[in-house]
Amino acid sequence: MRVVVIGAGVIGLSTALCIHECYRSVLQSLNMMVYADRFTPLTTTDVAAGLWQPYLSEPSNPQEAHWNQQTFNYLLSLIGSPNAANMGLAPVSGYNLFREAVPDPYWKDIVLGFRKLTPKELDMFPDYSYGWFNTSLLLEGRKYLQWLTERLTERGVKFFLRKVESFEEVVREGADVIINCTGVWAGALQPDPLLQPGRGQIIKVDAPWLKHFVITHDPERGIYKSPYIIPGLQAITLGGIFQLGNWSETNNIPDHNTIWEGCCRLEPTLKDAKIIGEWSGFRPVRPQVRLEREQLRFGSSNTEVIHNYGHGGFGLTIHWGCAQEVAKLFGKILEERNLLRTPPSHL
Amino acid sequence: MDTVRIAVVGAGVMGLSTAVCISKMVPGCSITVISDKFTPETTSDVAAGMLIPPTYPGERGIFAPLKFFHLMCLSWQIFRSIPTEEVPYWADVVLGFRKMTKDELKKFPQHVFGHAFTTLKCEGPTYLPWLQKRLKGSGGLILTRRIEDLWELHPSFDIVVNCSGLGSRQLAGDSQIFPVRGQVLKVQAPWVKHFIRDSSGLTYIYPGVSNVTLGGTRQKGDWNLSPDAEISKEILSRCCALEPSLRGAYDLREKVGLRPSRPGVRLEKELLAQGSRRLPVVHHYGHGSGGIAMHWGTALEATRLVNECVQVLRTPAPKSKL
Repeated sequence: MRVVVIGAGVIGLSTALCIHECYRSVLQSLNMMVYADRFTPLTTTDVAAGLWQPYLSEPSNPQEAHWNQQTFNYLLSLIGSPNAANMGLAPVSGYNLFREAVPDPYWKDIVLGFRKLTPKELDMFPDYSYGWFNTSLLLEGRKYLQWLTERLTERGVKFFLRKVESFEEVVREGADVIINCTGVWAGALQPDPLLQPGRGQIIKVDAPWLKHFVITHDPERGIYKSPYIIPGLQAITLGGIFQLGNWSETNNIPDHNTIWEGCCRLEPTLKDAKIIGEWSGFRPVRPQVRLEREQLRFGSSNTEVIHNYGHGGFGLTIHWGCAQEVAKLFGKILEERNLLRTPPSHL
Repeated sequence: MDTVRIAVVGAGVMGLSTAVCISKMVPGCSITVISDKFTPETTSDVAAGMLIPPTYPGERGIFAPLKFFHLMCLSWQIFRSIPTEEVPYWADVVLGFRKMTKDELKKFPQHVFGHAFTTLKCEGPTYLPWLQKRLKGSGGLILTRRIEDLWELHPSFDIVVNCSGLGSRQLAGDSQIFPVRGQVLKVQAPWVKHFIRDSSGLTYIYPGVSNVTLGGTRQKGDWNLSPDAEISKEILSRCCALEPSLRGAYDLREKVGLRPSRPGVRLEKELLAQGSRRLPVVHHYGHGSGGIAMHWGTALEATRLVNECVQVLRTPAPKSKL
């Protein structure tokens, strides 16, 4: 069985690993390849701050809430293993701030120790009058992608730097199943009017005295348009930019100023922080994640594609739940083609 | 009005904060801090600097919140058995105090109960230089000298503030003060973002600005300032049991500090007398493991006592009617 995964961000690599872990032992042969034109540190995942936190409002597809929870529980079970830091994983706590009272988020019982902020805590943030405190998880994109790459390499999965121009070209080379994890660029392989870039820009600084995340919200402006400060394993990510439809990958000065001023206002000690770097990336925004099978016919061959893209600003948050779902769909394909030696044990 | 000349003995957190406090609140005085050791070689430099009040029996402590935040972090204090006092007296002083949830406790299988709260960490190697700078900015002087006897300060100074910690055994003849030796490891583990402390106070993990403090020991009466390699191994092992990711910690450095312990903090005036000589002393020492946690509060109180001494000096002596 020849499986081609297109895309080497968190979605591509985690899906590849999940499928390989579930099915390698039950298939006569599993030949898996990852094709991508960008690998870490140049993927969208590398720009993400890496905090597990879904959007505040319930997703239109309730499965997404379930996949978020699955991901959190999976990551939480790995805390306490000596490998956690190598994976880029660590617990982190912090604040979500609002200018007025809001309902609790649907994920309040998924994270640890969720509670509202006390008046004394709110005194620390003069521009905000309401908020939450909870413990969540940090999964730093770059470290996690490196770790996933190592695990896949150990398993004999091969990586190829190439820009795939069409599904057809991959099919003609003999792929049985294609896993489409092309993120914001999925439209180049198959037009998708529902998919749009949600451009973000972030500044990474050295400010090791900051141990909590602080995320502000302005419901009128929308998610991620308000300043946020998220500590990483070594550096701190400052952000607050979300521009729908903007394909510019270069950092721009007005956005830099918006981020810098907003975050320094929130945390004045940042004025002493050293700037390490600045990056832009495109959240693959879609009303819902596209996670489904599709049969493609080119000439006489019948190739299965499993789409797994459109995770917006919550890719790391949802990735493992989606990877498991793709693995389930993959399993169905194997059943339909009578390829299973024994039933898979992982699901 | 003559300038009252004040000498502060000791340049740890007590000496420097008291000196700064006096400079802000007692008018018309000159302040000189005299010590044989300065940052980064004081006991305060070894301390993790956690603002978690100690539980002295009967000692409520004067725990005043710091005006300047140095480092804030979520703390997990975990217990192997349920404490008699489930909510400590200082619950309102720290931020967001609550009991740990069952899910949080799963991370610590040997523990059955816990507190979660946000508190501050105040690091000696950064805080002390900041205090020194403030003191100099308001005209204070800093001198390096080892004082063997408080009378050495007479008659150059009008009031002595004794913040000499363990040095008071000699300087104040105080046999009640004794060291509680603490050995710690300062390591690199920047992914650790939470304080974790076992309620016994023996095992703790305190992430700081540029390193993580792993501890520790509480060895009563032990004056040895040299680190013990066996103890370091043992501390690392205990901390890894609470936080397994610490096995990846690197650049480990051993440090030892002697906590200036006493049945209670000595915070009081004493008028030393020798023949016709008089030397007012304000004692401000003996904070044990709670020095940084309590320092500002006790410094304010010490300053109040200094003020009282100043008032006495400025009140003209009643003239006897001849």
